[in-house]
Amino acid sequence: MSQEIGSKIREILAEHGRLAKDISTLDDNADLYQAGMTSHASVNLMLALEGAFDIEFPDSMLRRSVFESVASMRAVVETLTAGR
Amino acid sequence: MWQSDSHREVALGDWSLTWTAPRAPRPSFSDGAGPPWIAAAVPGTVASALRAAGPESMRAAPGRLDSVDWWYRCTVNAAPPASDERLLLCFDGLATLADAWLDDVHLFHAEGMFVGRAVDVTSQLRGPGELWLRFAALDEALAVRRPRPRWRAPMIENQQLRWFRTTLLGRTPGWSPPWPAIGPWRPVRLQRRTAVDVQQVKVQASWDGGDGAVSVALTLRTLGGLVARAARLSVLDGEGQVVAETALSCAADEGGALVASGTARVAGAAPWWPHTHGGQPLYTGRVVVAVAGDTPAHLPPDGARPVVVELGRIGFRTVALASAEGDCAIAINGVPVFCRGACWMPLDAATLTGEAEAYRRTLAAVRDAGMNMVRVVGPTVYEADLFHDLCDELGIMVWQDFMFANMDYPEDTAFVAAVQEEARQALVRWQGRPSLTVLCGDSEGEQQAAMWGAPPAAWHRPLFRETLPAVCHEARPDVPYWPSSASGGAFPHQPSVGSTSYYGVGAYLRPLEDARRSEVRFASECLGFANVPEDSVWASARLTEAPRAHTPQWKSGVPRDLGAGWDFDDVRDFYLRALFGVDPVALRSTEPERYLALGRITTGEVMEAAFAEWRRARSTCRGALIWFLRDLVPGAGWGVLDATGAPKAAYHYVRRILRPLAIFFSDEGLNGAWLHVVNERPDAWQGTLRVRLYRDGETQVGAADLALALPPRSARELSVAALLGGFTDTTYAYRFGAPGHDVAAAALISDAGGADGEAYHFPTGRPAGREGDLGLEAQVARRAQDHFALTVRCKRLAYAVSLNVPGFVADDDYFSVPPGGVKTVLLRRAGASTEPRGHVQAMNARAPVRIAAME
Amino acid sequence: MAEAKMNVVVGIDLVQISQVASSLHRLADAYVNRIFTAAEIAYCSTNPIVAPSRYAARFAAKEAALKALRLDDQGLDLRTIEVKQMPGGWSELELHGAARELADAAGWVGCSLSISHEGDYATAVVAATVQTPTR
Repeated sequence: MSQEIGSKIREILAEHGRLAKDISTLDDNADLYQAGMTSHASVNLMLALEGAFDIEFPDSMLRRSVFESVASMRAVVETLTAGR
Repeated sequence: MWQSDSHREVALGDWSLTWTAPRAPRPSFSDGAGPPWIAAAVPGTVASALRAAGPESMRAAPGRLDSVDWWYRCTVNAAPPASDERLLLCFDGLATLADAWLDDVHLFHAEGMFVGRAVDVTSQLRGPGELWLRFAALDEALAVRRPRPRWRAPMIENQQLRWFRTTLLGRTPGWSPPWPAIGPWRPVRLQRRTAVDVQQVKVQASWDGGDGAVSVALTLRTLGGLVARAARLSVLDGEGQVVAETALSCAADEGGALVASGTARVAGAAPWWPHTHGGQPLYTGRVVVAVAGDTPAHLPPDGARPVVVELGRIGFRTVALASAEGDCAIAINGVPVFCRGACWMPLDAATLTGEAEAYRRTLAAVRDAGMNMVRVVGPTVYEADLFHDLCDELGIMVWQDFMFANMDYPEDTAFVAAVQEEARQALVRWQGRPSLTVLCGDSEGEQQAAMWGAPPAAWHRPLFRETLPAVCHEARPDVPYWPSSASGGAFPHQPSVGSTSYYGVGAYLRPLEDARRSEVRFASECLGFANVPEDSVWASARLTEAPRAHTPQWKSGVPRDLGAGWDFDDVRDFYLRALFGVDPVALRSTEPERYLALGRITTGEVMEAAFAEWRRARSTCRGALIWFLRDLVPGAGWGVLDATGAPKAAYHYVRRILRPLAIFFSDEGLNGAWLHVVNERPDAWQGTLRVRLYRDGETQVGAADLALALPPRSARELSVAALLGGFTDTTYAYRFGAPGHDVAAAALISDAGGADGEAYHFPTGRPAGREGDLGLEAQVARRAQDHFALTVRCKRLAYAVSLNVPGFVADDDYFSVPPGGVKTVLLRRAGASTEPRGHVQAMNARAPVRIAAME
Repeated sequence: MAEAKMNVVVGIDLVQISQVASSLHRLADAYVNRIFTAAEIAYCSTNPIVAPSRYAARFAAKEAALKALRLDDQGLDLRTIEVKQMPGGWSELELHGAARELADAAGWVGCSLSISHEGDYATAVVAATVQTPTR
């Protein structure tokens, strides 16, 4: 289940992340901001994640650190989809 | 393209051209000691100037045009600008590494032929001067070491062309003439802007199914202390009536320019359709800016004077491209449209453009062929405004590639920025136009990467997946974006998913059935064949007779894939053998005329068979575009029109199968022969479907007539056996005995009496033999001043009857006539002859038949 | 007596307009409603041609404000930072709800906004005067 979430997040990153590097070269803990993700791209990413997983990020989770890496996003998505 | 009446053109002097070694200093123009100068038309290219100067100049010029620097020079003179005027030198397109000087002042160095530039010369141009352009040798630039691409494109001679924004035409030796684009291929203009300098005009039109909206944003600067008081937007219909108006809000931007923006609603806006499906109501937009100021010398004392900015053509329609589950389906105004047509080539390979009349004739031929889409392809150039105007007027959808093809393009910051600017400028030229239907990143880039073995991650390139679509969405949110001409599927060129270059029936020598088996979804290019032209084309190559097939002269007009051991004559020969059971090599050697005659109809028959598969209602095919429309050089090129724009035999086959109201057969094997009837028109059709079966080319053995009502935008399929009643082996699949018939002829006859389509099916094979006497007769009668009717009658089946009537154009050719049938063709005078005289020749007759003189 | 120390904090952000256009095209209402207030949407969406540059400028303003607020990894609804278009032609920042609270807690006395766009880029600068008590 977590594996699926991880690869779905990577798919969304490839489409919306606007990274300078190929997403396949970055591991789950790589800093996405270092890899070229802008603040605007992170907002798009957030909206795309909401759409893909049918979740809503509460204000408290609209933090910079949430979108810093695939791992951090996966953790939040798992939390928000828990109990489904 | 928008225009302001506050901008006026100032004529430049005549241009001259010469060449020097790369990096040599500017040659002298005045003293006779320098290199020879040639008169050069601007806009134009080095190739077109040499061609116009004559064979001696072409011989004197270096063999490789890319190996030297080319210099253009003209005189410039303009009255000194007043306080409320600016002078701009506008360079709409310079190919490719260009420098410009005004006298000794270097204006700029620019790279890229697809971007226009303007230079303010208000303070520099004081009295007469000289304008110099230098186009640096591209070979020198290509020799610089640069990183290697991840994949190679074999059709392109030098892969490092990927670093330069220039056309691939002239650099693909297999099929384009050896004239690379060099020079001021788009206009060079000196423009005087008075009172108001309109810097940017953006227009967007949208339609919600009932009403339209036109939004504008103009950026302008007033000159000489003048002030813009107000601005109004008007939208006018095709008759010049104002259908919507609004005041624009004006705000200053940080640089001191004024931005006038607003939206006008057009109630009940009439929608634009491709011509196969409806009409083309067109609108225009206009902004009037009221300007006033304290310079009485320029203005009437009582106040504001208007500046009128014409916004250009506007049309209202919606375009949807459905791509879910591997589809690639286009709907216009909510109606699914089968898109068919051809890939567009520049009308003149040397100038990369064409005369107005050539554009009109060629696009009229596109419409007349039942084609509703053309694709402007990546290896060529962005087209002239007139091309797009005509597509808007004639109802021809445009699939527009950006000028990229096959190669691994760089993605460094400077390159990407240059591409964005190129795209923005092109989008301004296309704004408001209803004909723009698809914007496509490049031609075959993903496909080439995949074919070369690059991994799937490399097929998705950010330039074509993110950068270009973002620019497109901003300017034309109403036009779908497609990443590459072959895209979608397990690999980009997989036929059944997304779009593809489909050459299964074609270069890959697949049987005709492959058109169905491949489940082609959308062929952005297909059916590339060496279509044999009529002998009349060779006069344009200054030859008195047609070169024999296979000679070097003949082969110079036949396309080939670079490095392949075969060419497209071989491809055509394969299908000639398959269709007619004839050995092409033997035929070419013993009966060259017959070889060419059968060759002419072979490619037509194959194209007809492919489209008959794709147009069936149950087919998965959403569209197919023939590679390509018109030849670049005389010969058996890929065009269905020859290099002069005249139709080849293949054109007539294509025209018959692509009619918006069409009838055609399919061979369903043990299910028998089926008839397919399509009505794409917005009005219903009423008439009779007639089927006749004949044996031995003459004896009728079966007949059926069915009253048929076809609702608008409908299709039907009918079993021939069911029409005849009982069991008939309509495809000779059961073969219980000798064939019952050798030809089935179907026709749609409207209640008004017109023949609205014909189709033929040959269950035992197309006629390959020749007979002595078909009882063929041909007569002419005058209809009007320059119009005649040619009536052809025959006793026995006349297969693929071709007309030879010099000086006249026929509305059909290479058609069949059933036994005892009558076919009337309209002739229009196009030459000096006053009356039609000539012959008709059936492919299954040994000799032509003279057209009887008029009574 | 505690004296107030006055300081200025600045935030700046740069946004690519074509990327905003892309988001408007792909995500449409989801994008717009999540980031912008009703008043901002009303101002930006009247003309689709200028919409991307206007939305981009406002996005840059919100990000610039976030940076000026010097949040230590705190989440904030971007709609609580609003850009108001003044009749004179300039823009001003108005903070609501959570943004207002954070600004108050940081000692913001006043703030100023400047927006610009050219070509494919929009940028915004937020400068705030901050008063912090000293001993």
